[in-house]
Amino acid sequence: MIYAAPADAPPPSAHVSEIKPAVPTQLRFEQKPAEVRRPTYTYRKSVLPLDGGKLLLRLWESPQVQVDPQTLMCAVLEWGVSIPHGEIHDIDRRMARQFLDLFSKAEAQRLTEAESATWLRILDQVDYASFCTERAAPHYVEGTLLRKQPVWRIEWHDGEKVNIPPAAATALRVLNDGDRFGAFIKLGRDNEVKIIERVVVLPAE
Amino acid sequence: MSENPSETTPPPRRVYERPPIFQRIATVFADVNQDVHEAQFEEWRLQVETEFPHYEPLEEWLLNVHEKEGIPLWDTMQPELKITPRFSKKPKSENFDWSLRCPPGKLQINMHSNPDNPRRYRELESSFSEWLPRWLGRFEVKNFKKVSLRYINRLNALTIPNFTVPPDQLLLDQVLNVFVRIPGEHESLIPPYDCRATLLLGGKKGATFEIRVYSDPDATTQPSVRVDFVVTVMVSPEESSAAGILKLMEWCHERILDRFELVFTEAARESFVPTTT
Repeated sequence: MIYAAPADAPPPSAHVSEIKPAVPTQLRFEQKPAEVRRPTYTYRKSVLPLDGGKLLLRLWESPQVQVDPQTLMCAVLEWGVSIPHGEIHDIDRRMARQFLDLFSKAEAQRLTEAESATWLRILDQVDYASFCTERAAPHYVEGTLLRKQPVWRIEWHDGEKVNIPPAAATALRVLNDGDRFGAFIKLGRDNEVKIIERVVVLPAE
Repeated sequence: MSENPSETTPPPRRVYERPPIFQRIATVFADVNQDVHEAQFEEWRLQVETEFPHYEPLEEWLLNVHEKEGIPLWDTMQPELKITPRFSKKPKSENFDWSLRCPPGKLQINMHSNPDNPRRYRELESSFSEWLPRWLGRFEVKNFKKVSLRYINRLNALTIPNFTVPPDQLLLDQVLNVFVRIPGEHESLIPPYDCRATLLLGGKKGATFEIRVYSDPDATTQPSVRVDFVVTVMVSPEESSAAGILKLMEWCHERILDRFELVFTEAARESFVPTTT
């Protein structure tokens, strides 16, 4: 069996120059251009990395990307982000940058009216409370190590008792049960201790 | 119709100097937590770029179409934009050479070759065995799902010159033992040409062999036909480790070698320059 090139191959290019442009018999002017259909695509993404992945911005829903077939610009709906079709692979970085840009302006109360509207729409798309918790700098606390086994348990200076995840508790390994200590801690989602660092031993009360 | 490879006598292995292989692709699928993937990706990127310096993500605009009684219908689900991280040793404009793709839950290494630089499966195996443990550690992979090995063969004047009638014909029935004998009278096969079959192999959990023969309009040399072999196998709990995955990959490779001997005609294999080693 022979496999051959298609029978309906295009004619040689020399023929093209012989085509004469046709003169239209009637010109019509449409006042309103026909509506251009802009297809919308779902970009399945639930998390955007910030700070090189050290901080994660959680999205409630997958972003929607609308393509303008005339300009080939892609708009991330509700985010106020426009990306040329050929640079769409950069979408994560541009969305993250837009978020940080508007977040910074909101913190400094420098949002314009249009930016403010976009910022509010973005806030509907992301878990902002979780972002603020994870972004907060470590803060100093004092407490007492109650025990290491079977789980790490601490009593904070205000009397609250909590269990500490093993990964965060490694900084307390040097302490004895019952030791009072001071340390900088960072909380994660649900107020769980995520990081303990710069531990100091405090005198017993 | 079924065939258990473990019950058949393996044919003697031959090595070819000029096989028509254009790409070999090794892939492993696993469950990876999305948070872990995003948190670790930048450091992973730094690590990968030491060997695969060109980062050109693959962009895919996917429209979901399904077929009902032969009629293509739009899926009611939203079309998707998919972006796959892709690193390579040479940029796309220079045809990539090697590349590594790593969307969440997947590690894939593509090794490119051509008749003048045929490369060997052992080179792909070596690279995969190097990157697999790094990927497992970086993304805290625990649950493996499946392993797949794909061979892409390209048939055109560069790879099968003895079976080409210039300027535009390939003597396909002298090269392939499958998907070329169509009953009836006709002059030739022409594009679109697309035949595929999937075989349940047996011998391993969920092991399948897929063969596809189809028009290859992307090749710079035309006419061109692609012949893909894909072996896929599910990962059992006992094989859920880097060593287990590499053993499965070797099993996939053996199955492809089995079929390579059977799918290509004796005359075609002779033209691929078999050696005694």
